[in-house]
Amino acid sequence: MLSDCLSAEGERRCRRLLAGATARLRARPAAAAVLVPLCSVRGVPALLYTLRSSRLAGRHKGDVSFPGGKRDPTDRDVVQTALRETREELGLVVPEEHVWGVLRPLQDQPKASVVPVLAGVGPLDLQSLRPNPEEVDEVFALPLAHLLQAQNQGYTHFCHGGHFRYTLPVFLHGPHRIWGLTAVITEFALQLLAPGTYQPCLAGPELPKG
Amino acid sequence: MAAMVLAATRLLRGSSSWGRSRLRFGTPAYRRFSSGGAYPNIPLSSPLPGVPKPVFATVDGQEKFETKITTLDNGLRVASQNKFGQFCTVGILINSGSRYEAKYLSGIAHFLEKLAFSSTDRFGSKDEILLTLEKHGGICDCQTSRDTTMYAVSADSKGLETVVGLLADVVLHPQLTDEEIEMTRMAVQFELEDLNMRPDPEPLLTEMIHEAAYRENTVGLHRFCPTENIAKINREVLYSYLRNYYTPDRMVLAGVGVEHERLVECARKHLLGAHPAWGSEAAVQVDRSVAQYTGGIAKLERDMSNVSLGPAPFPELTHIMIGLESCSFLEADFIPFAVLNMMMGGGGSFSAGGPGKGMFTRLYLNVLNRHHWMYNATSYHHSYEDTGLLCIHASADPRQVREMVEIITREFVLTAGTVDVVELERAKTQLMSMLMMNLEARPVIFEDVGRQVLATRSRKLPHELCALIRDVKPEDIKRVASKMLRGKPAVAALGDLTDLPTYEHVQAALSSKDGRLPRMYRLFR
Repeated sequence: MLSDCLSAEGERRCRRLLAGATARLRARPAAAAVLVPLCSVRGVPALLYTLRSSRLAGRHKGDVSFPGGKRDPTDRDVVQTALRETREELGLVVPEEHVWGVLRPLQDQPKASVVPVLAGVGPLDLQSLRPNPEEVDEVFALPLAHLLQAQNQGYTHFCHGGHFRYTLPVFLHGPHRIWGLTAVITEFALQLLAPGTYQPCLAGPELPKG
Repeated sequence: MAAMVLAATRLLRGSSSWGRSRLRFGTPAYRRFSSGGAYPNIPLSSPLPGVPKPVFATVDGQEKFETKITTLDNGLRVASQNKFGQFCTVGILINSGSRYEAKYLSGIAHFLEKLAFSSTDRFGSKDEILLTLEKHGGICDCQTSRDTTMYAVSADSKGLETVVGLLADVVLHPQLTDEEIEMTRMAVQFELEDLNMRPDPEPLLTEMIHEAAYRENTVGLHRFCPTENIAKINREVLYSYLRNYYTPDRMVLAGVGVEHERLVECARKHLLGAHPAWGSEAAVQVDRSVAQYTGGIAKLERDMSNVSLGPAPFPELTHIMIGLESCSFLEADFIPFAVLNMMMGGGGSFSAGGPGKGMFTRLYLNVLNRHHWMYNATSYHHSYEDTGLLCIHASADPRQVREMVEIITREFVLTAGTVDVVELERAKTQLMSMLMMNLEARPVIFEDVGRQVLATRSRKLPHELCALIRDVKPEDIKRVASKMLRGKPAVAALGDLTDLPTYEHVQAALSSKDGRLPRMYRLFR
């Protein structure tokens, strides 16, 4: 069932589902974009994650995230931002045809949105990647089978001002814990790729502030 | 000549009975009891007549009693550790605390702690409970922390049946009358005032560092009831919480100094099939949130120039606490973190003494002994089932806050450097002896048994823990310290904060090689 999502049929299905959002959001300006690389590691479908360098300044230093970053003036659209950043951070060149579509954007901070771009990268050998040591400390892949197991899924309730506000997903037992915006984007991807199997837990009237 | 004079004076002085008994010391050993000649010559190798035969504890170097665990049909776990002695400690530990209050009013756990051992279905008031316990020489207490609530009774072993019945009643059938809740409101208010008034800032700082490290989730939620919620918490709110969290599968009945079969029998009688006061509907919304470490800063500007409660003045101090994520107590890395915490050690400057006093932990040697103006440098390690926090508390005069922060960040960065073998062995020995010494006390054994069975369904015996501690090597310390330093710091600050470095500077200092704060060029210091 999981291997179907990497097949041509699965790809067509996903592209079709994302087509509307992609057309709407592609050219809209956004502060940043990340690439969600759906790859196949040793024949197993997996998502590729990076561990941001602890030497970076800013709120997300040392966190697990997808390759991506802030938009450059030279970028034509958010897809370009995601692909360029992936090339710079990992040395991985993803041609634009491999992009399947754009997932729901998220607010990192008020007025700063992050757009996730889903791409099918195909078979990938992690050793062949050349991560940039200034930006990326580690690259790892988590199989979709691992992410879909209930024991690896968790959630956290967040409050604010003494009241419960929202729930965010957490993915456990990998080399590193996946939380925050990255976990939310992973949830979007899993909802798309394995609709019957994955139970989403993102909840709450307000979107998370990251 | 001199000897003769001495002998003469002795004889002269000793012309009374003193002299006579002195002469008597020369004769063979023949002691008379002071009462006279009733019992001549009782040797110590045979028992005294008319005295009951004593029962001695034997020690042969092996732990004779092991921790036995049984799970009842409703999910309740019963764990016991037998021990020589007339008294026993029995209690119920529950997986409930402030970390589960996300969807409830904050402060419920605090209220429940104050309301424990009050009136129940069978006991009309707290006094009745205390009277019942007095018949068995018993005392009772309730303690809540962020993730566990513990009701405990220490009493004579013969009263085990009564004690378990009492505990079951107190936990499952509390009446929570309006009068008691009103008294609790006053008690909570008083505790909050005391928290803010006392010169020792440690509980307040612990609250703040958790708030900073786990922003708005699980263990970062308020452990003490916020003022605005005191009036809002009432019986319905408490029952709605108890319905979901005081369920048998979240409870452990632990006993020390009792026989396992007896305890299980009492548990079956009082806790199996009991209908709690809040109704027996199934628990609906149990919060299984994973604690999420976020890092961050929590500041509280406060005038600390006049905190002394008595006539003697207290110096004005600014307190900071800097913490980093460690690991949960379920992971293998927990032991190296505990050794690291012991190695950092520290305390108040009053205890530091100076070189030669014998305080050899890093925060004493490198911080308190070298900087006389630091009042305090102590290391703490808080650990929960899914996360942990290692933090260092420091306090100094407000004008030296920047230097103080730099010293602490330097100490943090040095943890990932070389660890001297002697220093490590000392820390390991200190940790093992602290563990063994504490586990000689029955209430501590009770808490250990209860908490371990609650978290892991089994218990690691002390000698197993000591073996794990002995296995820690310098590479382990370096590895866990490097892992710790990768994460974002949590900073809590209390007092006059004008010179406090920004959070970004603290973060930069902890990521740098030497732990120094980024240089700031200011015209006037």
